[in-house]
Amino acid sequence: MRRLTAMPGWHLLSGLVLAGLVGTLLLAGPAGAQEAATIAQAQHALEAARSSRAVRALAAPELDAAEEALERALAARDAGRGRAEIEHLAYLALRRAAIARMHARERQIARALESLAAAHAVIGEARVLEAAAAGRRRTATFGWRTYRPTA
Amino acid sequence: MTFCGTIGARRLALLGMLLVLAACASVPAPVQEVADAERAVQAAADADASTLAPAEFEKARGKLEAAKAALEAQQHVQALQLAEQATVDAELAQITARTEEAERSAAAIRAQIGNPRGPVIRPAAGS
Repeated sequence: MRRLTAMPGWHLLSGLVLAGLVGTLLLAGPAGAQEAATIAQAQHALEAARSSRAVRALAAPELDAAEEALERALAARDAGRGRAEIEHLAYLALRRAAIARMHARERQIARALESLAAAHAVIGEARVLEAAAAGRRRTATFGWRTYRPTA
Repeated sequence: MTFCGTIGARRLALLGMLLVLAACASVPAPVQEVADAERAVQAAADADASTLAPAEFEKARGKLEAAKAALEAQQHVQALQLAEQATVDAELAQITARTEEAERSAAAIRAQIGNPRGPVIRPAAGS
């Protein structure tokens, strides 16, 4: 042992190992906190999506995908996987929750569009009919035609 | 003695290199994932996401490029993660673009319905 420690290479190596250990200990705290923050962010986003009736009704498969992604992130954290992997999986869960919300919004708008298009058609028809009726009234009153439907 | 130390350090370095190589070998090249990400970004581009959801689209495109670079550099884990992130970012960009377009269409129809220059719709005389 004395011989070994007398070697410059050994000193260098043990110094590096010690520095690595100290670095790991110093970084472990903030890194762990960051992982927790990223996972909490994903959990919050998923909770918000889950609490929306529209998302549950209109984007159920997307919501399932987001939940699955969060479960993977939580499993990785519980298994003590690396920070990069946990943060990556939490990011996927966060984005999947956003996708679920956006899908629900798109489908809501699509439904509203259908109703609006139907209303628009009815109103358009009513406008044509009303204009024709107004023309007929003018013809009956003044004896000459002022309205010529173009469509 | 210095010689022994050098040999030990060399062995350790070799072991480290082998471990790194083993880690790389355990993750296959994510060629399929990068291709999936590319398709997702293309689908977002087709949905005009560069105009309708520029922030999300740029994020997806940037990550796809980074994934390709990582794949080329044999950094498989990084390439896989970047490709997966690019795919979800592109999906979000695509759906955001579609939603934005649908909102614009709805606004246009609402404007047409409420057009004050159009003839006023009154109830029929008999009703």
